[in-house]
Amino acid sequence: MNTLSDNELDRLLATAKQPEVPRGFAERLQARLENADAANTSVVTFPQRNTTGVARRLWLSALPLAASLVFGIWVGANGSLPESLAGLTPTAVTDAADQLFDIGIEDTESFVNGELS
Amino acid sequence: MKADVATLTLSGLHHESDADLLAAAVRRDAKAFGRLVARYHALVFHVVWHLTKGHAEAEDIAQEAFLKLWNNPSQIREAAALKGWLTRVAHNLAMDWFRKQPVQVSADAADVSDDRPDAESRMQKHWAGERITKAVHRLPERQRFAVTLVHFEHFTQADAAAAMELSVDAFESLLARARRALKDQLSGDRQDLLAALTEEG
Repeated sequence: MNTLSDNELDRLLATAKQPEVPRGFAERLQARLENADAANTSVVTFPQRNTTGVARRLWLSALPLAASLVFGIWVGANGSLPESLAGLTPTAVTDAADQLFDIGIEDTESFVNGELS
Repeated sequence: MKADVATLTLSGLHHESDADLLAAAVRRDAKAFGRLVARYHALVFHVVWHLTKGHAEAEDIAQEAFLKLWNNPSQIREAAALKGWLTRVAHNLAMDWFRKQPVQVSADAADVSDDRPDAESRMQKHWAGERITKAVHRLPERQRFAVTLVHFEHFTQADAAAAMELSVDAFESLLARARRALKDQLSGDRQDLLAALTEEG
C-alpha cells in the first residue's frame, strides 16, 4: 500500500520547509512606517474654491425668472393685464401686424376665390 | 516615529495583551506597535511566503499588512480578532499581488518543479522538506491557505475558519480536500519521504 496515512502526512507536514523571516525585516518596516507618517503629515490641502461669485450669478439669473412667474400668477388671478400694459393686448398685436403686411387673412380668402391674380 | 520597531522586534518577552498594545498603537505609540510586530511578523511572513510560493516579494507584502494596521489600528474592534485580521489582510495582499503580475501567474497552478535534488549534494531531510513544501504550493490557493494556517501556523480549526471567513464545517471540508490532494501528490515518493523521516530520527 503506497498511499500515505493521515499520521504519516502529519509527520511529513511537520518537516515542511518553513521560511525564516528575512534579516532586517523590522528595520525596513520601521523605515516604511516613518515614511508613511511623514507622508501623512506633509499633506497640503488645496485652497478651497471661492463659490461666492458663482452663487451670486445664479441668483441674478434666477430673479427675472421669478419675476415672470409672479407676473403670470398675478395675470391669472386678475384675468386681465394692468392698464399700463393694455396696449399689448392680443388684438393690438394683430392690428399692428395687419398694418405692417399688405396681405392679411381677407386677402387670402379673396385669392382662394379667384378675385386676386 | 522614532520608535525602534527593529530593536523591539528582537528584544525579549513582553507580556502586554494585544488589547493593550493595540490601544497604545491607536495613540500612535510606536514602541507598542513594535511589540505587536514582534509578536506577529513571523506569522504574517509565513502566510505570505506560502501563498506567494516563496516569492521574493513576500517580505514587502508582509510589511504592507503591518502598514495597514499602523495606519488605522482602531479598525480592530476586538483585540482577539487581531491575529485573524492580520492573516486575512496578508492573504488579501498576496492575492492582490498575484493579480498585478504582468505575466498572469495562477495562484492555483504555479509551475513548481519537484525534481529530486542530487542526493549527494543535499541531505535527505532537506529534500523531503522541500518536496512537501512544493506539494503544498501546488495546492489551489484556498487549500494552501488552510494547510498553512493549521499545519504550519498551528491555528485551531475554529480560528482558521474565522480567519478565512468560513464556517467550521466548510473549513473542515476544505482542509480534507487539501490533505487528500497532498496524499495524492506525495504517495509516489512515500518510501523515500518516510525514509527521510526515519533518518531524522
